[in-house]
Amino acid sequence: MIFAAPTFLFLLPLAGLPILFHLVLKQKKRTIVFSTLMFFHRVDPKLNTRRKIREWLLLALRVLMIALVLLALSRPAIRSAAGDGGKLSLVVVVDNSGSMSAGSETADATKLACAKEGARKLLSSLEPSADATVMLFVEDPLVAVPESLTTDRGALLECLDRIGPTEATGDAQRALAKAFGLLHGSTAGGGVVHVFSDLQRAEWSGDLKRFDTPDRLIHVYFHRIGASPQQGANVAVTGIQFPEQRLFVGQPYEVGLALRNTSDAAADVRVNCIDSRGERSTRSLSLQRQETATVGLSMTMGEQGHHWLKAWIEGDGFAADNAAGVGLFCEGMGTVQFIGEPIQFGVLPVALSPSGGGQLTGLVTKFSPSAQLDKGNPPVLVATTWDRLEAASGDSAVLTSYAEGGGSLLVVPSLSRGYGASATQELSWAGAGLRAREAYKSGVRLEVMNRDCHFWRQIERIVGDISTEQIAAYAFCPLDLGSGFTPLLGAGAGKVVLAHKSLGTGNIFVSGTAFSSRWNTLPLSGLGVVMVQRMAVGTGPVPDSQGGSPSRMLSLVAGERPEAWSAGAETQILSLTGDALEWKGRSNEVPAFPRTGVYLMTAGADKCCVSVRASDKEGERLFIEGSTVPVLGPIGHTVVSFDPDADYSQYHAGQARAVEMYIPMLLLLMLAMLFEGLLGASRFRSRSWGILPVFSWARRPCYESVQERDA
Amino acid sequence: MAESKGYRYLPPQMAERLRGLEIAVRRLMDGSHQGLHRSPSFGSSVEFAEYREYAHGDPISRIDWPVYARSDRYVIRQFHEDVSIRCTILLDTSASMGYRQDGPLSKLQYGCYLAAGLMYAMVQQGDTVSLITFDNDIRRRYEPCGTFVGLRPMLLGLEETEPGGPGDIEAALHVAAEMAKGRSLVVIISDFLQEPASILRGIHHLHHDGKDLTLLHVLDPAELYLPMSGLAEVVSLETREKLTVDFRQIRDVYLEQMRLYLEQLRQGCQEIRADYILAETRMDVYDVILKRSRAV
Repeated sequence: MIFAAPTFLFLLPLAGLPILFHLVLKQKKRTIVFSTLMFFHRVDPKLNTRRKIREWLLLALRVLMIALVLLALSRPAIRSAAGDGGKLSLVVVVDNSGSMSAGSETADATKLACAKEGARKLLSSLEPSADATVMLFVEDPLVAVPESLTTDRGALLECLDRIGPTEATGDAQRALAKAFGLLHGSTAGGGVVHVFSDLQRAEWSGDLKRFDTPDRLIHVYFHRIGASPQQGANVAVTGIQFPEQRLFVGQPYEVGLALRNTSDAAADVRVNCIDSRGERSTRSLSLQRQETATVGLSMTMGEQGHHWLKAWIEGDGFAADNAAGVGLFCEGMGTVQFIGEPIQFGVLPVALSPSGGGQLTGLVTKFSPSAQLDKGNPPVLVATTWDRLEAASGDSAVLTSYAEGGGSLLVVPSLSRGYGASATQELSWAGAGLRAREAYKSGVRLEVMNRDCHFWRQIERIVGDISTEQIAAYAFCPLDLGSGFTPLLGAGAGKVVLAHKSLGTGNIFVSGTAFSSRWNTLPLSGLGVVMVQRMAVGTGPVPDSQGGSPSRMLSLVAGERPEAWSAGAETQILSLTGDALEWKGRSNEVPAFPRTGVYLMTAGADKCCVSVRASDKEGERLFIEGSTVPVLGPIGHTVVSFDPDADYSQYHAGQARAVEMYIPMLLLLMLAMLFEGLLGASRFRSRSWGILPVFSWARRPCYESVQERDA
Repeated sequence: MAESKGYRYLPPQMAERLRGLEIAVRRLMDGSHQGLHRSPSFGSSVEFAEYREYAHGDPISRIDWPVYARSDRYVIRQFHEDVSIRCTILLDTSASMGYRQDGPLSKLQYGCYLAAGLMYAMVQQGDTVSLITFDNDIRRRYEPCGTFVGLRPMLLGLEETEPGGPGDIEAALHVAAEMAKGRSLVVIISDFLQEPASILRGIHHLHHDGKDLTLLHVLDPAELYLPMSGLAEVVSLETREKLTVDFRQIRDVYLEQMRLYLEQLRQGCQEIRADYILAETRMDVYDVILKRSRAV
């Protein structure tokens, strides 16, 4: 007898509760003196004995009922040996993770090839009646595996043939849960799971987790495939650093490829790269043991749309963790719209687009007298002046809506007449106010405020340390800031000159100084140019004409699946580079990506560019050596060394389906309840003494009947 | 009547009601005194019985001369003899008679009232009466008396009677049958809580001896109707035997058994033409005696 939920067996002593209640809470009996017991004995000569027997029988039934409930909850089962008519259920799990592409210790082949061969022999050794299936440790959309157990050996062997190496890390918890689910889904509980794996510690030594449906009837055999000694050092791709900005046509962008030498030997490797335009590049690199490095890969996109870049390492001892795919979305040309006259903005238009045509920055400037924005191709930045906002109240709503929708808005003092040296007008908008202008002949130094904020951190990545920058202001209007604003530049004594506020998914930048050399030295410094360009291209989504977002990007490690992707929508996946994948289905069924590449996921108007890099865990050469696999916890398992010449029929002896006793226990329980009910019913009790049924005529008081006759 | 004043079991009101009540018998009785009851012997009453041939030794004065004149035969005219009878009252004093649950009196107390009333009624109609108490044997026997003065020890004796001892009605009746010789009226006052067959054996013994039998079956209403409910440990008054019983569950069957028992007893009495009266302790004692009076 095997119990799937043995915890309930610990509660079996509770079955004794009725006895306890019987003894402790025994019903107090009255004592009645009666003239004779003659009639009671006539009712039943063994009345007392029968009553006691009935009481004890009831007690026994109640104890039995509780015991049966607990036994049923403990999910008992009787294992039926295959020889006794039992039917074997078997799931073969083939570890196709990245580490399996390394060579094996026992054969002149990769570990994956050994695993496939072992699985093939195992399946061939099965009785024709046995139900079996093949499962992949790492999901692979290119390999269709049966969804349930089958007796079709040919299909299973064909499936084995299609299994190829991946660059992913497997999820042992998920794979085993799925294997157990397949066995549970068969007509009877129990079964055997055979896992052909190298038992890489990163995959199999996770925390002890409880499976949703732990089953003591299932036994897991691990066929451990040892790895051959590694030749040379191993360098792995550990991450991809995407450009943190919006990307435009013709501009060179740098993608960072993080590398780490995971071995204890120095590595001399080459980093190769190819992009969607066919541009190739190679860079040599030396990494000391455990050293990390980031290699910048330059990429220029010639047209609007999705572009990819594929990088891989050559020259190390392990290939499955060497590659990465990078997908980028190019927006074409970005438009910066100025509301007002060019003269009002000083050098700001030039800083954003020196040529005006976007050749140098990918940004095109555009001037308009009012806040009329092109919704089909919204500008990346809208610049306006304080007095314009004051004068045209209608602009305010349009600009607020634009910013909330993901646009960037910059408000600066106007350089036109009215804001000369004597201007003292106070203005306000969006919670920020502009106080009277202050002028300093010799200038006052502008200090960076909130240096840890995202804005400055982005700029520091481009220009380096910004604390040394000397920016002087000759004139400025101090800002009065409401809640939500982050001061960026100040002139000391609480005088804020530049501030940022997130509004919806967009940004508002308010400035108390104009971009003019008469007001400050920003136009003359590189920092000033970078600042205004970051305002334009830094963050924020770009709405397209369909209302979707074509610029969404996702970076995954091979083996991971996209989370929270357009729930429930019909999704299509196409590969830009990597596996020739073409997949369609529900968004919640999107498969994991087992290999590096760039994939485009489309769900209606939503598009997402998925960049997949190889799992750097696969290069680790730490394997479980003992006879216990931690992730299985209490589930019975055996670890055996993989033997290419093993007789796999030995594993089938004694393994068979088990007969669940849950239903019989419930039936017994119902029977016990029925008997208890019948025994406890008073009417039945009076009849059970063997007395004839008492009908209504017989219930007439005996005294009266005699009296009537006497009369 | 002054004598009966102050007796516990014969209060003046009862004595007053019993005055003039006649207790008759079904069978011919032996008696030595002139009385109300017909004797099997011929005597000197005014009621003609039969003629018989003159025999030597018969007084010549008893020859019916007119008959001689007509038939030339010597015949003697015989008349029925009316005698006073002897009544023996057997009162059961076993422990079970001490039971009282729903009635106003214990069965023994009720039986004592019945005995006193009957004795008074018998004496006041000129008969002699004696009292015997018994349980599983004869416990006390009072000499027959035919006067109210002679009744006094028995009435006082009733007041001293206490229930006790195991009952064996059959055995007691056998002994009583040996004690009460001749044809007489025997009134048995008991709860008869014994197997009917056994009781009837004792009854038959008395009947065989020529006794005119009256059975006054005294029962408490609780014994008849079993009004108790719930689970209880029942203790027998006589044997102290214990039994755990759920009254609610067995009431129907108990009542059925009681009915069968009473029927058996009544049937047995009917076969020997004995009077059987069921006396529930909440009934008026006078009514029970009246019922006996009217039974014949």
